[in-house]
Amino acid sequence: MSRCPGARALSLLLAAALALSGCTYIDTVNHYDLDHDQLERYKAIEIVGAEQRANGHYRSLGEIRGLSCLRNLNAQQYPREEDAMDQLRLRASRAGATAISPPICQRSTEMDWANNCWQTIICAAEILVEETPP
Amino acid sequence: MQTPSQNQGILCPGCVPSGKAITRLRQALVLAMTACLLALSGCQPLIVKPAHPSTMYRDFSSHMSEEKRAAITRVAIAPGDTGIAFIASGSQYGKTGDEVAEGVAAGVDAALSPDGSGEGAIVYILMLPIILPVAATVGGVAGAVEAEQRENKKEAADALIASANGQVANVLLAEEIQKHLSELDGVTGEILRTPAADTTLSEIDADALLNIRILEISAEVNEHSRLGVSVEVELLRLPGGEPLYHEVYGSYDTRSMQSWTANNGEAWREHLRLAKIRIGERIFQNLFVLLEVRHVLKPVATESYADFKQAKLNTLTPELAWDFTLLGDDRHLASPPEIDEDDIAWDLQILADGQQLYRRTSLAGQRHQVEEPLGSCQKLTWSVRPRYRLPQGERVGEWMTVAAADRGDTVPPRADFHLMRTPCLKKKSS
Repeated sequence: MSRCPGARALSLLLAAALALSGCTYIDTVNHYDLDHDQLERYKAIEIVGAEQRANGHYRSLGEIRGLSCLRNLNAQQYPREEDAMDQLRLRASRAGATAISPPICQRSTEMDWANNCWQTIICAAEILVEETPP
Repeated sequence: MQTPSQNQGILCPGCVPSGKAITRLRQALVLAMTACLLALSGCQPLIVKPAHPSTMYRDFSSHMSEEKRAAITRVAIAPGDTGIAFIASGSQYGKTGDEVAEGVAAGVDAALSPDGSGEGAIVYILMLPIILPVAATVGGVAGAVEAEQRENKKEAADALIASANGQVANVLLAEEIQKHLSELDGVTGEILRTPAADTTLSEIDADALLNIRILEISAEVNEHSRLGVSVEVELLRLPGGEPLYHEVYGSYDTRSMQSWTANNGEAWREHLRLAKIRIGERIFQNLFVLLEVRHVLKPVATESYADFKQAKLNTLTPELAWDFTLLGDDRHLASPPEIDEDDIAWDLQILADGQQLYRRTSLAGQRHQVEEPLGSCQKLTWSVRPRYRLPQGERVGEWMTVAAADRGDTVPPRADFHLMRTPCLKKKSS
């Protein structure tokens, strides 16, 4: 008796794919996770505007995001943009960047399941490496 | 609008529609939701990662600002003279009335101990709430005081009464802070012997008045022992009384409190002695010398100390090294200092069971070879802290700790330093 034997498996696969695609976890980087060179880079990371970028030699390493999160309602440590920016700089530094594009920060008071947060501020930017001109 | 069968037809062309289609769809949905939750839980940080065992980072300040420190060279310290609240809980005291009576006597003896520290009195006051309900059958505290008076031990009786009022404990803490102040250039501290309430601020010959009040001592004695001490600290500018600093410090100690009356209450004395030292040090640092700038400080492997987890040394005179990075951007400070990274000196401590075993101050460079051999087969801890030379005087940073720092008003009994184990050397056979 054919009762669509593949339907359940297909449903499972779709759901898992959907869940995974929504799984945009942003890890938190601690300052002490970085080695000395990475910390020095973190301190020196600059925000490069369009004009400066056009005049310089920057290579893009992709996009990166930094998260500030309200994880415990009782703690009342609400997300702060400066913390999200700090995370952005830490993650950029760890990825080898020396500069970032002007970041865009977004506050959300919606539950963020992927990051286990009641509220979030997420800052995103393109991470760049300045290269010596040929 | 699609019917369930039509919907299923979309999912599975050619399938025979069935009356059980909805049930099966529900089952599939439940399974899908489970899979979804599993997938999500795989990327949620539900388990907090343990702190990295190598550094400290702080982006808040609990110390008094340099602006306020600037005008203070003479400090009058006023020990609180109000009663201390005692909270005792737990059922495993395990003492009979007679043993408690012996404890009372031991407390009095310790209060008048030859070293004159009076710390025994603190032991006694801590024991009061535990003693009171039990000791009623053997005469209680009042009876103990009367007995002392009958035996012309007036001093002992006075010590007991003073202890109960909290004076002795507060004076001891004040003396601890005064001791630290005496080691600081340019600042002196005097303890006010008359109660602050009997003195008007304008009569006090000092730049600032430091009020110290032990608010509460709590003891929980059962399988989860815990001793808590909270202290309120307030610094007022003189003669006007403008508040400069206010903080309530909490100290906790979760070491075992079994055998608490053994050896004249040695365990209690040890707990309270450490609480006094740690709280006193913390108050002094926050008020006068601590500078909390953002930094990362962590140990660096050397030939004699490479595995931080096992923490095994291969020599009794290890070489210790550390890495330090100032992060800058100290917006949490009213006026961030300009620190010359090349002009930072270092204090180093090695502790054995919380007691100082080895100390060097103002070391140059971020590497030090221990100069005196440590004992073999010992479990020790060590740490360093920066010493900044600033125009307003020397300031110190926090000691390097294993876990991320708590707020500065929480004072654990022992500094959370890095572990190291000295090698076990075999004795030469004669």
